[in-house]
Amino acid sequence: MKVVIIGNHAAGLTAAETLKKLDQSCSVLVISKEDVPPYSRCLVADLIPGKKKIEDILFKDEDFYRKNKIDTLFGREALSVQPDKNQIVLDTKQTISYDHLILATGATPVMPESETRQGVFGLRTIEDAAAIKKYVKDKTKAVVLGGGLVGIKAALALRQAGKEVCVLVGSNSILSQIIGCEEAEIAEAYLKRVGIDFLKQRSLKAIVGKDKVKAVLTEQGETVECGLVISAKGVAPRKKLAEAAGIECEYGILIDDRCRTNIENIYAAGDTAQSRDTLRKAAWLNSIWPLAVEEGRVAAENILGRDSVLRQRTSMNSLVLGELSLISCGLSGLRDENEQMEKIIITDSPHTGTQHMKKFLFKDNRLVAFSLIGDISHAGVLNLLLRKEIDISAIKRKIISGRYDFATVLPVLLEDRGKFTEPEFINVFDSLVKVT
Amino acid sequence: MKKQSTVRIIFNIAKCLSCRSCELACAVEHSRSKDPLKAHLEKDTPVPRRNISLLEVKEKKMCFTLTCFNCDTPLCVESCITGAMTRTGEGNVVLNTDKCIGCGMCIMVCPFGVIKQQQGEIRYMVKCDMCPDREDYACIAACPTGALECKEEEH
Ligand SMILES: Cc1cc2nc3c(=O)[nH]c(=O)nc-3n(C[C@H](O)[C@H](O)[C@H](O)COP(=O)(O)OP(=O)(O)OC[C@H]3O[C@@H](n4cnc5c(N)ncnc54)[C@H](O)[C@@H]3O)c2cc1C
Repeated sequence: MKVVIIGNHAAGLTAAETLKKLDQSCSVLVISKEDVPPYSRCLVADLIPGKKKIEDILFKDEDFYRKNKIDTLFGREALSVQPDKNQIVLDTKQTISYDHLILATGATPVMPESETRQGVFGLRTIEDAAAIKKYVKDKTKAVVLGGGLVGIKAALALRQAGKEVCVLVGSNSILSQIIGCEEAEIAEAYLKRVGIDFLKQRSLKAIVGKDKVKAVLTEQGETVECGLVISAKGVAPRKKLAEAAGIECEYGILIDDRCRTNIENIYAAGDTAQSRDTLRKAAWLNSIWPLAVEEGRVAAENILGRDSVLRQRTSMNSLVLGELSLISCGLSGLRDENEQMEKIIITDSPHTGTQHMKKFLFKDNRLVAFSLIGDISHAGVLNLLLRKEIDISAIKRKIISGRYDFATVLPVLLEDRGKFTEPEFINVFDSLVKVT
Repeated sequence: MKKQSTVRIIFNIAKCLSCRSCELACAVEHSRSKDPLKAHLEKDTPVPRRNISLLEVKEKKMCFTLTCFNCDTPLCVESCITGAMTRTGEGNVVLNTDKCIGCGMCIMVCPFGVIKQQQGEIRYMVKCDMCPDREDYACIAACPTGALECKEEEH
């Protein structure tokens, strides 16, 4: 059997590894536009201040492909998929046939339209980071468009490189996709302390400069001078290949719980795919690393005939801001909050230097979102309650007291035993049979 | 003796005395001195890789303890953005602390809450490492009643 994977990152790489682990005889070819060793995309911002080098952000060893007998074609772009012929066409006009195809083409940064000036960058690849690092050297000021996770990571990296940084944020608080305004206040206070400026509720009117960026104009009338702009206004799934081949897409390539597209032997995984969100009860774009990896694995397992389904899943993010750890899961974004949710926030006074906050959103006796700042221990236990949609009425008081761990939630898990098939949970439940 | 297989340390709640010997032994085993009298004085106090807490089921109160189960499909491995957390061929989940940047992704997903943050200048996570420096497991050896047992599953 021959499996071709387009894309060599979280999703593609995991798919390849899983296929080879489960079936050595399966021939696996990974194709990628990027010709680089297997690095972690989440860490590319660290290359900008020179704090880390490529070898410090490798996700797998360089000989990963050879060791696992995975064939590669790097530096090549797939231009089209021909499902009727079971083949793809590369930029070199070469055609490659497959028995099964996995589209793991990821996403690209959204850039300002028809912008040709020098000094406007996206931040997604090693190449992007290297270009930014080189270009910013003799500049003193930078503007980041967008206050999301990538925008904040970019701003921090530029600041570490000693640049003045101003972040243009569309909404009235930062990281609004993943946290509400209460958490954002703490995060923003930290970022301001390290010298990052924010202009909130602003939108971009134009980038100015003859051939090179000189300044950014806002719709609200400001001119922000800068030598460099990073566009971090979100990412768009790379779905063109799929669309042209008649594969069903909405915002991304639509996949079911087994990562199948509407074409039998074509699967999709990662940021390019749109898959079910347990809490949102809809096909959703959750462009995050853990879900990309899981989709890569599940696609591979199904190709090998194992009936494998995606777990219950929703958005989740973890970010470190200096001393502060921040985790948010579920419907925790500014726009996700609504009146039907009960909101409970616990904080401690900031005299210890770091500020702690726990925020919980409940709906119909379920935990639908939480954010933790400072003490993040046992976050995964809360995440479990959320993903498995467990009725928490019996332990709600303990959760909102901020003192919880696995033993705290175990009684309500036992009530909902049917939702657990994983062997490790069965082990725990079985060990309690004698006493419960 | 340790076998080349997935390690699952199973807890027999009926035998537990709530003495916390397992927790202490774990912390000591992961200290620099490996000496119970010196360990707590060390800079960056060692964190036990094991939880002990109170379990209340149907009005009964019991002591409950657990550590990493080396899950079949570990969420911590799938969520690790650096490649520090991996699953070995034997099926055990191991963390390369040199590669770990302490981003918290694994803590965010571990359903058992058994990944801990090591406090200190450099931020990194710690978890049960199945006591690589010993022939047995510190927690099991320390348990006076045999409430902890290792189930090793061949893969
Ligand atoms: C700066 C930054 C920080 C991030 N931080 C976090 C974080 O902290 N936590 C988190 O969960 N997520 C984070 N993310 C998101 C995370 O990196 C993505 O979710 C993840 O990389 C998705 O993996 P993927 O395999 O789906 O796609 P991608 O990583 O986008 O990879 C796509 C692959 O497909 C290849 N490709 C695409 N089209 C073609 C074609 N036509 N022909 C050949 N090859 C092609 C590309 O070369 C690439 O190898 C971050 C992202 C960025 C940019």
